Amino acid sequence: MTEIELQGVSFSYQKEKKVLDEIYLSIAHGESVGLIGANGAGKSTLLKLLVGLLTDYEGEIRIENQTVNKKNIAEIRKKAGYVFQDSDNQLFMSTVYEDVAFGPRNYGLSEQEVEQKVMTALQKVHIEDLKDRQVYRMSGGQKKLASIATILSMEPQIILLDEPSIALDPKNRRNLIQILNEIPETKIIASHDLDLIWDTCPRTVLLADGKVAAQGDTQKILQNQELLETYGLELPLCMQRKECKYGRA
Amino acid sequence: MTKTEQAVKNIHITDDAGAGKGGIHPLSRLLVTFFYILAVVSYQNDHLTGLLGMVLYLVIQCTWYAIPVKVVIKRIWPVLLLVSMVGIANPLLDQREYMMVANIRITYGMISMLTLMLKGIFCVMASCILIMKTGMVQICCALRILRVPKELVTLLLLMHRYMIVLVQEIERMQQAYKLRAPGQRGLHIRSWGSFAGLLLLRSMDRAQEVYESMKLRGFQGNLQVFSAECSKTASILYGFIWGTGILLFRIFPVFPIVGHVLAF
Amino acid sequence: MHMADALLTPAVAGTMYVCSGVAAGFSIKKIRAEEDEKKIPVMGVMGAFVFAAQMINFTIPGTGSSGHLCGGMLLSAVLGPEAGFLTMIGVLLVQCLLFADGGLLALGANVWNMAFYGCFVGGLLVFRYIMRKGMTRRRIIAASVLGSLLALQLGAFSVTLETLASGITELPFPVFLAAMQPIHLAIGLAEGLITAAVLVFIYEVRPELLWCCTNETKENKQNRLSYKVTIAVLAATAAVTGGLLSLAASSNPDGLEWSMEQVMGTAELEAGSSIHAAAESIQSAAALLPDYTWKNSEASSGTIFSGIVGGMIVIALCVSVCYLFRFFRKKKDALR
Repeated sequence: MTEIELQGVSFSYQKEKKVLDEIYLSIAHGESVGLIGANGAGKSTLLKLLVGLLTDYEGEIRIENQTVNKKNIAEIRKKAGYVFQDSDNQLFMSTVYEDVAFGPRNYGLSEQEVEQKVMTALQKVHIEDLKDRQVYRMSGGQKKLASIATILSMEPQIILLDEPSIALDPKNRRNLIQILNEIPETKIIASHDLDLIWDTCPRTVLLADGKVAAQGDTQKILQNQELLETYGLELPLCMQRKECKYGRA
Repeated sequence: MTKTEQAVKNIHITDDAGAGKGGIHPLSRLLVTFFYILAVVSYQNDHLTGLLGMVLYLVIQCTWYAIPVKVVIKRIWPVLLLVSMVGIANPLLDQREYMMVANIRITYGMISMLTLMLKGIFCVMASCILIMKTGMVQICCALRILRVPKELVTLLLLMHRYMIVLVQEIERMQQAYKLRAPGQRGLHIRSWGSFAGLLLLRSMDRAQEVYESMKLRGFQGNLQVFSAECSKTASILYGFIWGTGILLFRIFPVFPIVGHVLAF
Repeated sequence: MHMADALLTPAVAGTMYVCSGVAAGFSIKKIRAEEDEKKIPVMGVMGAFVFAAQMINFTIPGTGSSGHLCGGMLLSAVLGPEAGFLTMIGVLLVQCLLFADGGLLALGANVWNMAFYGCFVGGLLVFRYIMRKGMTRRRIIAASVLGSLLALQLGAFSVTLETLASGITELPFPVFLAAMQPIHLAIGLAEGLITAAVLVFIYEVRPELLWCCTNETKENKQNRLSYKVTIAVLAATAAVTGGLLSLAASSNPDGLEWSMEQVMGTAELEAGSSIHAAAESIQSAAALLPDYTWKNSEASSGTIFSGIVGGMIVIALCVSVCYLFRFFRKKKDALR
């Protein structure tokens, strides 16, 4: 079943330059899709269009057969959650619990239901013990998991992640990959971290200059050195297998 | 310690607020503190013995809740400096005799300056105890009950959350500046605009993203605050006991009476 | 120039709370009428910004000293005066609670002295007036410096007035004023230059962020005029009533003191400041005796002695009771 459908979507912040140019894309239910591309390729813009943060686009975006426009924005946002790149901006309440509860509370649930949703969401990212922690006392990795939990508590069908692995140390990053793989919902992950895409997404879409330059099997795209280098990217590190520059022979 | 480090530290002292689950509602604490400050400030300039009785509140609060006195004392110095600056003229200008102690002439001016300093110390300590036991978020909750407009409370909550983020950003920017401008004590006039301006622009962008993040999760104009679990009886009792206690001390000179009864 | 709680009497503090409260209510109403959902989050983050920016040391060339930002005027130029005023209230409340700058009781006075003048006089009157024919670099600098100077002078004047009305210092009014105003001329100039530098930077990089840059229709202009008049009237009346009220309040014993006289039957009227002098001489001529008998008993070494003894006993008793309770509570917790 197709869950997200983009039909010739174009978008521009200023009139002259198009950030997205005639994008066609369809994503099925339960799929994990990696969105890659050089800086300024339009990855974040595409994600923002999907949750209706930007609405003045041309073409058509449909989520579960519902067109994304100003009228049904509330419904769309119940279906799709967006995890921001900077966790500090995502977590605006003082404690983790309050923040994760923010979404469910706004949908008018009772405190009991809210608590149950919050605890389920925290369990999914394995940070139940951080429930009462002050947000500014948490590490980058913990904040990232907490911001994913804020989205999970709203039980969306689609989760969009913008650069989730940025500024995480290797251990936290591996933990994040594991958690992402445990989440069954439809995911779109926009990232420069091709190794992360390699480990989490069976399918990859390569954006360049606002167009879909390539899409398909992650293995094929990420192993295609020529393709990647044409669009300003490099092979994932796990493919590069270099000798240590200063290593002894 | 730099100013920014000091600020971060000051924010952190409220971290454990409410962790002990004292069970007393923030509103009760806020009102008692306010009433206490009101009572302290209402003493006349030369009413030293009465004012001294007010120390009891601070002593009991500090011992009962095991509040680190060192932290509280640290807060006093700036206020003490300010108050002394304003009051320094009193001993010089008001030379009327208040009393003689072992041939030393104590004037009204000295007493009024001392009263002023004590008032300053007491008020600061009382608010410090309040914030350490209650925390900013719970105080926002109390303010909401006091019908402070929800716009203002939302603003306060967000400010409290992003204060530390931006202070840390300033800290990093200042370090980067210092490393490339050795020997300068502050910010050169040529960098005034760009330094603070850049931070302003970044804060604006951050605000935009925070708003988007709220919007995506169904934000409807205001943040709600929920008070921590607390016992109703304990809160009312706390307010009542302290309220009458403070009033009692304010009206009757309790210390001299007790001393009188016991000594003679 | 944060006022401390100790520098005010309840009557003066209350008056200032009323004045600031009126201005805050007016601003809230204005913000609600705008119906801009994004405004509050932006105000929250900008409040945090001002708070952080106050930590920056701006070195003043030629002197060894450094200037600091207060922020009222800067906020007004970015958010508009009403939003700027509300944000400054937030900043001042956080400062008083978390940093002991100012106090809970003095908050009303501090909001008035630092936020009201900065936002409504500096931001609304001066800044807007100078920008009425469009924004230029030079006008921004002129408006910032002029606005900050004016705001700080008015603020310093208010501080002097409030302190004297509270009758806590023996300094004669002119002496106090002569000490306060010149210092704040320098502080205002520094603040003005910092504000100017930041605003010019914003103007060159992203002018759309500045509040006055929004294009105005004719209708808006008319609104602005009536609005300006309202503000001027509001400011004038508030200042006059504030001043009068506090003078009136302090030349008599304030409310609490007065009611206690009724209860205790003791008149304790002792005020030294020059404002009080006149009232006091009349008062003491009228009722010299009852005042003095009580005074003497208060001042006698016997009272002081028993006060000290009593105080020590009561404090020792309370502390040991507290410790006992804590000891048993710990034991109970340990047994669990």
